[in-house]
Amino acid sequence: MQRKSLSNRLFQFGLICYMLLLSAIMLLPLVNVLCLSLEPNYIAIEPGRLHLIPQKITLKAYEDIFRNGQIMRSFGNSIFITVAGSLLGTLFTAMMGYGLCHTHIKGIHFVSYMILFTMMFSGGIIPSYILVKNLGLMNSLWAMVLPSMMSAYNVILMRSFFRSLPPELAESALIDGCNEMQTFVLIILPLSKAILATILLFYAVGRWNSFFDGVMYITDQAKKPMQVILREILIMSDNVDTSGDLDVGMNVKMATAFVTVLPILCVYPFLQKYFTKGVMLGAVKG
Amino acid sequence: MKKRLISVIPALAAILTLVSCSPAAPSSSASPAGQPSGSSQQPPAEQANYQPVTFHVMIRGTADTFGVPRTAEIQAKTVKDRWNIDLKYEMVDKNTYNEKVTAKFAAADFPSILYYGDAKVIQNAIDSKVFVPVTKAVMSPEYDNVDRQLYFIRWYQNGEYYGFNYHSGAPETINLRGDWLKNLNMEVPKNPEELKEVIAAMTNNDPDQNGKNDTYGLTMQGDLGMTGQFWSMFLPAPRIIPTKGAGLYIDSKDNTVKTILDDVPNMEKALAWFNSLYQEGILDPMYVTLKQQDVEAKFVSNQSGVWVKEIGGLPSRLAQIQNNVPDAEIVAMPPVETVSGVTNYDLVAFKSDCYFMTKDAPDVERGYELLKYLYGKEGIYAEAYGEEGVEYSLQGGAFQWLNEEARERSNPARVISSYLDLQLLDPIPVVENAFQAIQAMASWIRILPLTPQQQSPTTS
Repeated sequence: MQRKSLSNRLFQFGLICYMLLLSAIMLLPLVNVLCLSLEPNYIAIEPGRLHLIPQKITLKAYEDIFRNGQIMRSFGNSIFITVAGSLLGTLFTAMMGYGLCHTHIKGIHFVSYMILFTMMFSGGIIPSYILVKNLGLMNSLWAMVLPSMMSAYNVILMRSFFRSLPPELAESALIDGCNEMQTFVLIILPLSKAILATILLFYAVGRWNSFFDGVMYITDQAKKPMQVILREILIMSDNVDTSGDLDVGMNVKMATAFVTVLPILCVYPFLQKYFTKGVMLGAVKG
Repeated sequence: MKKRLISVIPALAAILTLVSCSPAAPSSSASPAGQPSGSSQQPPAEQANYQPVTFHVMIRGTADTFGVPRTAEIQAKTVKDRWNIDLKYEMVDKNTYNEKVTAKFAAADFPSILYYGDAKVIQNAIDSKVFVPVTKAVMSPEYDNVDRQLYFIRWYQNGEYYGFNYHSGAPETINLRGDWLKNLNMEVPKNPEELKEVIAAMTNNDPDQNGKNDTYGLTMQGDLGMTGQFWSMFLPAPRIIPTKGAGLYIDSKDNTVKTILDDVPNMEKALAWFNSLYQEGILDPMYVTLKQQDVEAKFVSNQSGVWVKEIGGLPSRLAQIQNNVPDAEIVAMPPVETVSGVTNYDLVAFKSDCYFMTKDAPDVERGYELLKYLYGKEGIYAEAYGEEGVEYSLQGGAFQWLNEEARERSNPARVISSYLDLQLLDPIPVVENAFQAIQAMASWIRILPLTPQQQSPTTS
């Protein structure tokens, strides 16, 4: 085994220290939130100190959350929006990306530019609202899935990946009697698991965290997604005053925040590899 | 594998479709949970004369999340029984409320009743007849004892009232730890000099008697929000936010509107008072970094002894303090007469925020009844306490909670801030004391400057 030089070891040590510091910076807010959620409210509201180790532990905040029907309903809504939005978004993004690879089709470049255009200019809140209203999607969970089903960025990523695949694969499938749809489903998609996982994860994270659409298009309290409810809880600052807002306590606010990030927190480490892998696949040969 | 993939996609699509089409869980904000639907229920006699209509009420707030869905249930049941109205609330959080209203207006998607405060938008809506007059509701006999000139004049135009304002806002007072005052053998201060003495004692004389020098008499927000009551002790206008200007007042000498920023001699006095607190080390030096919630947290966690808060918000804060200090008390400082003869406290009268009925209200006449109910005595008590016989009882005139959860969820602030002459069913000592402390305000309430110069119709 080759002995490392002193400078090399120092560099490694510095690198480890730097990464530890970086990790601490990332982790401290999370630990802080977890600690606050586990403390009784009268301790959690104490200012002037960083809450990293609970002075006293109680699970009352979590009990309150799981007893609250509204939060559990919103959890279900978010799961539906995330699952439906991610699956449909990935499917249609893949279809569009594949279609855009066929540069021999007349007008395909114009379509590509149109897609690029949406990355720079959006319709804005009011046109989007009018569109959703006229589509009859107001107060429907589909309002959070359909209008923003595909992201132009992801379409381009997908197109770049498909372009990196040897065209001979599709050609041989066509010679063997497949039509375009069969070629896409039976040949192309199975070869694209990495990019599909990446895009799926992009969409899933985006959908889970999406908030503004929920505020704009959902009017029924029972249909609001988790992020909207979380925000409502977090801004409940003034305990029972004339505005009528009710304080739920700092510990409950933090417990809700923690419960909200938990699903992504659990899934992310296992799918993280697809992020780098998929993006590299799409980018290097784009 | 390939076949499995092909079969999985349509299966997933089918599952998603089924899930999304399944009926949503009952909404606590819509029709009452657990209530039978209208068709299966025998309609009461009063309801029989009305065709069913749906009123969409858009409100800025979040109370439905953890709050009192019972309120919505009671209100929805009552208005259904009486006027065959299906009441649908849409609650939007305060940070995105204006954006949503703007989008709704642009799409001509008006709720039946809207709570709103942007004066420019409101004026446009009145001019374009999007908002319809609510004069019939305002002129209801229930409000005969209310000074309409004071509370409803903001949106009185062309002989009609357009805005329905139902609460004045109880005044924000300077509050002190009463138990600390007792420990220090001091009285509630009545003027700036006495207040400074109390602040000094609360900083230096161990008011909580824990043997540590760990308290400050006063801390405040870095942006000077919620400090107007201190500044107004020296300056001629209440509701001052020094960093945001305002502080307009009428100079009786020449009958013109002026700003406190031009009142150099009195501003110097105010600055000198604050400066002396800082120089003597009795003002928490950390104040420059503090936000509203930090100031509150310091007060409820025994780190500071003076705090400005609306009276309605005191009971819950006292309860938090009493978690650690069971015999804690909060007392309000009486108002101080300013140089212009008004008080350093003020009511939130004349604000733009009101309830407006739009042209899309399905039945304007029933809309008046709805407003009168929701924001009249019955609606306010329902919101504050719940339903008699379910949440509380009044047998023999004695109030009694029927369950602990109802007591915890009660919101007496609605009663406190109402301009109707309503009594608290369940008296709260800290509130009663605060109101006693500010009794002198009654004769000092004055109309804010820049009031529209229209004449209000006389009370019928």
